[in-house]
Amino acid sequence: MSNKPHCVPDFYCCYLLRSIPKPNSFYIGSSPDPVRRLRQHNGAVRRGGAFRTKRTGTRPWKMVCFVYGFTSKIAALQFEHAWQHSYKTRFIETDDRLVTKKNTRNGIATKLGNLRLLLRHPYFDTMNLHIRFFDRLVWESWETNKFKIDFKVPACEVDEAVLTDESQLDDLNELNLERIRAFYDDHISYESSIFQRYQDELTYGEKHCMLCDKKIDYIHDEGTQMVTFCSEDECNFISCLSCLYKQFTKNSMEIIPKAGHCPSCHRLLEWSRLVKYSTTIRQNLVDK
Amino acid sequence: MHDGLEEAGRHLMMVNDHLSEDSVEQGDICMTQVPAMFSDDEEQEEPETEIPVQDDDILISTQVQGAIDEIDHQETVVHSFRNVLSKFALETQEQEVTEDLAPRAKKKVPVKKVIKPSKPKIPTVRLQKRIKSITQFNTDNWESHRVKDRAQKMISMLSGKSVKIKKLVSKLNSEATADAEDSKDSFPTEFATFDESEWGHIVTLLREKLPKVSRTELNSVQQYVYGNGDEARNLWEASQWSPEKKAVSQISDGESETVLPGLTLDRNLPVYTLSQLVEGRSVGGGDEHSVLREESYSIIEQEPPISIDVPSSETEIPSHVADSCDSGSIISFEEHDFLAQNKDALENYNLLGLLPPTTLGIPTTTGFRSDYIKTNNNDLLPNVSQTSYDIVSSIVSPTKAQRTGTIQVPATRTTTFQDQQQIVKPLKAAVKIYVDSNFDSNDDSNGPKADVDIQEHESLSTLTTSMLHDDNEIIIDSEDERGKYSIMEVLDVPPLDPNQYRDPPASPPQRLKTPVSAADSLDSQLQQPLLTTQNASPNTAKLRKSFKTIGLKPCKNKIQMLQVWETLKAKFPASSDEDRYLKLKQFLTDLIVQNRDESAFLMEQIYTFEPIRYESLKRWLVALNSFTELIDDSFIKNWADLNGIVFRNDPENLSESQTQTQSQSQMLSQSLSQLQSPSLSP
Repeated sequence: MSNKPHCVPDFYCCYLLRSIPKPNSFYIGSSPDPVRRLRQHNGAVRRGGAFRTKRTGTRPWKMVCFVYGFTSKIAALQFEHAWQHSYKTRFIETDDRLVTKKNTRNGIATKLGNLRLLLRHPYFDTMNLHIRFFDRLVWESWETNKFKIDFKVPACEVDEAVLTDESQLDDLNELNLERIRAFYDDHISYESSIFQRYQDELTYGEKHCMLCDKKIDYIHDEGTQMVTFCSEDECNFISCLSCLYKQFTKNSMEIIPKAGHCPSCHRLLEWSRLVKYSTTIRQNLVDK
Repeated sequence: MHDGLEEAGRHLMMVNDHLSEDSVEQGDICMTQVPAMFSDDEEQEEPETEIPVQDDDILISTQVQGAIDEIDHQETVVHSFRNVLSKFALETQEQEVTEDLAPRAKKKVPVKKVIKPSKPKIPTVRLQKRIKSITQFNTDNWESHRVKDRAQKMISMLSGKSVKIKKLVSKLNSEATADAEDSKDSFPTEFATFDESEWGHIVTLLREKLPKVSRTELNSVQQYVYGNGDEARNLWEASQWSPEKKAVSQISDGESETVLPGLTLDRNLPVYTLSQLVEGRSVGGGDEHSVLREESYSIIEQEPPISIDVPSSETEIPSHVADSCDSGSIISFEEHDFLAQNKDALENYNLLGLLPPTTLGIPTTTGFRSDYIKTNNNDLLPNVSQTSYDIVSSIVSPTKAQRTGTIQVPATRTTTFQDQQQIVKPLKAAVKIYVDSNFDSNDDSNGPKADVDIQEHESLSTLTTSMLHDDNEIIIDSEDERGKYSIMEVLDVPPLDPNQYRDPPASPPQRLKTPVSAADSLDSQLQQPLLTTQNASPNTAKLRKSFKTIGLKPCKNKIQMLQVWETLKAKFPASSDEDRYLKLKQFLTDLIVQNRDESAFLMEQIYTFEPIRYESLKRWLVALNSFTELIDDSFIKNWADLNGIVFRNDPENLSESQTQTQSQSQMLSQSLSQLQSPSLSP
């Protein structure tokens, strides 16, 4: 058992691949780096890849969508397993199952339907997961909601370039790879910038928890105290994570809150995101 | 022409004298190849057709030569035919079979020309060089084939490999000899399904139906079936013997010296099965025979029923063969109407729609206690041959009460409904015991009228008569009997003797309050079961189902389940299991929410989405409230999923967790056993 403190990963996604030569062939996987993973599946990277995606006639593959924002690698793997085995996963109620048998070939609509059912489960709903689409047809299928599942995912993202793409087969895998790389790089840079801002605030100047007024010593703290900030740029709210947790769960019977309002600017903050930054700061302190 | 032929014949006669054996052997290839096919008679016939070797010194006329040629031609045809036949003639192992069955090319054989007198040409059927019908060949040569082994011949005909044929034939012969040796000693008596008397009946029937069948043939069949040995010794047939034979065999073996007292050969006693007697067939000879005739076994018709010898001094009524499952003795019926003595029991019969066994008596076990065998040491041993099912009081457990007047068909743990009278007494005794545990002399509220409202739950309030046993332990009946039987209202509970009361418990059972403090122990929370007839204990199967629905751990025995059930009802008063399920979930959530500050580290792990070990969470929950220990792990994990708690597996500490769970289960069982011991001990 490692003594390293838990840290929410910067990026961990669970993706859906679709074969370009065989549009009815799909593959579900997970990875912290979707760009590298897609290249492995398509054989651009020599090492890695999956046996199923190496079959002749299936390459190249296209990443049509992925779900990101998992709070741990284990949670992402659980999601991947549940998505792959939607006929028997415990995260989908028996009455709601779209697939009941093991070796049935399912189309894109069924895949997306299972995705919607999984996101509806409280276990994954607490994590505030996001979906991003890179294929117009898949996006349209998602919007169609063939099985009329009563759940609206709050965070569905799609590039405008994808929406305006008029090609039938949704172009080549090269363009797909470029879009994924663009998103991934932007996301990582954005997260890094936020982390850097928090770190600068903690490094320079004396900080106190705005809820318990406890002094926050970032320099000498060895990661024993977890700090959180308001994600809004204009708000300078800072507090202990435990204090903010109590604040969010003061009038609710939830064990893990999904979101809460900033005590300062009253904007809605996602709890998973707050935890992510807080654990990242702590890990940075421990690494130092 | 005719004179020429005669002269040719004379010349041939002269030439025959000069014929030597060597020339015959060299010339006649077919003879060497097929020595067995053609007998010596045929070889002797050869000289008649032999044509002498042409000698330069003998001058033969052209006419004679023509005749000789003609005869020669005929001979060649005959020889070729014989050659073809020889290809099929693999009669002995010494022969070498030729593979080619196709007609051979005509070989040039130096044929000895034999001059025969000319005969008028008779139109003959052209001799076929190839045998087209092997069946015809076999039919023509059936005499020669008769002697030979048919299998051997078949193999030889079908196969062209002599070595292989030899091996097969030798193997067959060896197997045949081995089977013949084995069959001599074995008596196929185990296949016999009829005894001698029945066989005699069969024979008579055969004779009637098949008058042309001879007795010798029937006897041979019988011998074939039954052999020449002694009587069959298989188990079934031995069981059909009368005890006299068994006793005689025992005496002959030297097991006992004394003669069985009062033993008489009484074969006229009919034997009935217990089911027949219970159905009300009267005792007698004619009815039984008529009953038996209805059976498919008509052989029994002419034979007296198989009987078991019963000492005539003991009883004058037929004996009964005890049921194989019975633990009682051989039952003998007495003309005794036990129901006449008890009118209440008769009413019960009427209520249940059963016919009271008025004509039959209660089987007693008092008739055969004197059937003992004296040994050399003057010890009395039970006579197994006659009283094999008799209860020997010396070896019966003293703790078990003698069962009198009970019928067990088939042998079950519970008595049948015909004997309800016997159930009332143990029921009262059961009530008595359970009332004692909760009785408080100073408290009028305790007693049979317990706090638990039995009318609230129909599923738990049925108590059937078959649920009670002589050893005062409630046994759960099937769910199908729900509503079929009514509760035995034991209103006339005899006044309890104050001296029989036990000491009341030191403190009354505590009611649980939520939220529960950490100081509460499981012992104080588990309530003792109030097992009275009015508080009707629930069905075990239903309890298990309820436990599964709600999310509780299954218990090993019913007492534990009842304790947990009582505690659960007190803690979560709800109308259905689904409501309790939801309340239990809420209970866990409240437990954590209200005690967040007690374990800040674990809470931090939870709300930071850190994967934690399930055992650590369980340990904390149990520390908060010991009732959590009764909750099933799958329920807790499901609850955790709904609340976003992430678990991880730690293989390094997996063994440690297993030992911890084992120790926890042991602690739970110990605590439950401590709770149940004062209430259930008589």
